[in-house]
Amino acid sequence: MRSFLSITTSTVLCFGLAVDPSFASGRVNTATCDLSRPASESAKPNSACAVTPTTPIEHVVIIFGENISFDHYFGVYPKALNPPGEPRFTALPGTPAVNGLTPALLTSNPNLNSANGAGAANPFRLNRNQPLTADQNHAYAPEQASFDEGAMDLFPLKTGAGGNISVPYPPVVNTNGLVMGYYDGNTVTAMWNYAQHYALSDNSYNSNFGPSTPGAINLISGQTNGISAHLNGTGDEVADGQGNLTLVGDADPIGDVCSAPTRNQVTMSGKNVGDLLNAAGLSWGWFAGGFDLTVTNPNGTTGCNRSTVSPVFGENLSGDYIPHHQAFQYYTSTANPKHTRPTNVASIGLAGDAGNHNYDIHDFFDALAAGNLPAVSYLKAQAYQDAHPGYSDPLDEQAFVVNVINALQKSPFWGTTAVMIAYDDSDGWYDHQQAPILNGSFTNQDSLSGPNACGTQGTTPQLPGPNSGGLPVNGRCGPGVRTPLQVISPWAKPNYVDHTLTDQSSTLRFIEDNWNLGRIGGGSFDATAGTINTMFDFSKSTPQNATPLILSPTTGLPQ
Amino acid sequence: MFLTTIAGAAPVLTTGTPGNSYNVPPYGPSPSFGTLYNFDSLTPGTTFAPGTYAAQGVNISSPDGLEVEPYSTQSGPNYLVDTSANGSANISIKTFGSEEVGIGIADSDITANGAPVTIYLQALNAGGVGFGTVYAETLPTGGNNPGNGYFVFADSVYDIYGIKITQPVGNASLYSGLAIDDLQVAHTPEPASLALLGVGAIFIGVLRSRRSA
Repeated sequence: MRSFLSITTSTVLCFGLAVDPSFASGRVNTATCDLSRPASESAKPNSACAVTPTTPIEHVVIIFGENISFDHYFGVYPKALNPPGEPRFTALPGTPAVNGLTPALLTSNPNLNSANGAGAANPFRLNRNQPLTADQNHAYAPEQASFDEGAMDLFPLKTGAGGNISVPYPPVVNTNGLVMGYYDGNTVTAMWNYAQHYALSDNSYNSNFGPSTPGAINLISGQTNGISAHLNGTGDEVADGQGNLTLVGDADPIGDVCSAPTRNQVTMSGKNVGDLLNAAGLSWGWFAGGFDLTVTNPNGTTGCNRSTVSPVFGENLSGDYIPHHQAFQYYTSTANPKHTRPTNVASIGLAGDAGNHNYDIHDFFDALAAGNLPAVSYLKAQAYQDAHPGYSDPLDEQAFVVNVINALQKSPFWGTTAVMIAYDDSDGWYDHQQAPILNGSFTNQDSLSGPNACGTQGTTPQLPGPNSGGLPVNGRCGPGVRTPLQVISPWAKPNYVDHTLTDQSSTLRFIEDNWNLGRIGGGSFDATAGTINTMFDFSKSTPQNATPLILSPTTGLPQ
Repeated sequence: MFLTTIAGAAPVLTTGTPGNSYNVPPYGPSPSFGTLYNFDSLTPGTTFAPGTYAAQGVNISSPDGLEVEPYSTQSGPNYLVDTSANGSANISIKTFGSEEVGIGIADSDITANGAPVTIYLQALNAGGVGFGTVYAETLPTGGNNPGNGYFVFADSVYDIYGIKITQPVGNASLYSGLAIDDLQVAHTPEPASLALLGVGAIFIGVLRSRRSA
């Protein structure tokens, strides 16, 4: 038995597990759990603990950003250009290398392939004054096609899109070659600084190819098959070969009052992690920007149409709330379709709360300030801060991420908290690394290993759907494109780069394992997902990385 | 009366607000005055020729050389970077006699203790020699872009013929060091120009007196 288990000596049947103020020691006070008292009345901050966690982590906070490939943010880590006037980044001694853009990839990249036409390009640096760019193509089929059966040389042709950039330099940014652009530590400064002090994976992928909604669904269930209802056609689905459909596009959730009336909409069957957490009596919540329909924004917008002007690029290019990013709204058991407000701050995350675990992002901060941090929190920023190209940017994203992590680090929960920064898809941005094909698919949208093929039929494993009777289903070709994954916690290994093969459902697996929730089952990727435990150091009874790292939300530099 | 520069006089240095390159107003520096040189029409990645603006009476040089770069943290896209190998800088901006000269400076260099490095600013006289107070400045670090500042030399009595910018300590990397952007010069009219203006005024006066007669 590992030594840390000695500090969580008994199963705690309450949601009021409190952390000793001397949390830096890692000791957990199990004596003050009091189910009858709301957090606001408790002398010590509430946690959530129906079952004893198997690690020192009592709170998981997943910041689920939008549309970033690994090479787009970390391809040249840890070397930044450091132009004058920009936040400087200089790597700590002993910083490990990542599987990033080598000199050969930077100067003789396969995407110089003439098939890419005017967009043929080497990777190039995007500067801090170029935070807003065109959105790239990140649909299920083009993403596979950009891999060109493993040659990784057709990104400009298949997923690239140019323009919509404040500074048109170098000229390739106005072509499809923009897809080869990357940022460094002068722009994604906070992300690089977190990597310096905590753990970064350079081998984590989308569970399968495709855009936001499949990514969000895989995050919480590892299963995009098993659509139980659909409206307005099936443009975002593909036939699974067993008489059902697999979600491969960005359909809105049926029933959400903010879903677009004429857009393809779906409901998912099967279980998600919310069902498992409910069964265990653990508190949890999905906190999304723009979810609270009672708020009037500073620019006067209301309801589903709330919007925010980016302080970075000075425009308002999206509503705050985007229905097809809201994972739990697709499942009847975990939806809050009318956006009902929580019963009160103290009940946020708890069973029976009117919000049914779906809240606004301001509710997360309100609950945290009131001493209520659910066991599991998923955070989706308001659109302008979610990092999605075309309407958001890395600097607005940085402000959101830093504000969340600073608040957690200053809270009494920090000693038992793990923050995970993950992304729903790659946006189609260039990434040079392909994962081995772990789950096959054979439809006319698949091309990863040949026409209509992702893998070799009869050889490549192909998981079933929740209702397919154990028979394999199509539309889940994966893993997809590599995306960043960071773990920020007093228990995270410092300045560590993890090479374990993981995917979006690895965070799901961590939650399942941390509270012994069991598996989703029915062909979920959680059964095969790689572990992220290697990004932690649970070998000691006290956290070895307890000193908080407070960053500036505007520069990303330590404060 | 024409203004003349006297070595040893003391032009006053004031700080303004730099422009920004994120397409968010205000785009240019504040205060705004005179003629603006923002380098944005130059080709990024090229060596800057000191005499680029010779026709306007402006010469910008550094013994280290200057390069046009597209990474301006002030009004975008371009600025000029001192290409010193060790991050130091020694830039001379020479102008015709002027009442005000403003310059944006970007520099995120820090000392070993993490503090901003000190930059020295001094006005130039007609001989291209520094005169008056040598101002020691550090660039503010709290904004969206650390190390961004805007500085204006003004003198209501004597002409200023440019600015000398010196940064003795820097952090060596490809583009770290010091960059300038958004040079503004409020020219004092040349004697010949004033003479022409005077002749014009007399002419207009004569015309008016004839019409009113």
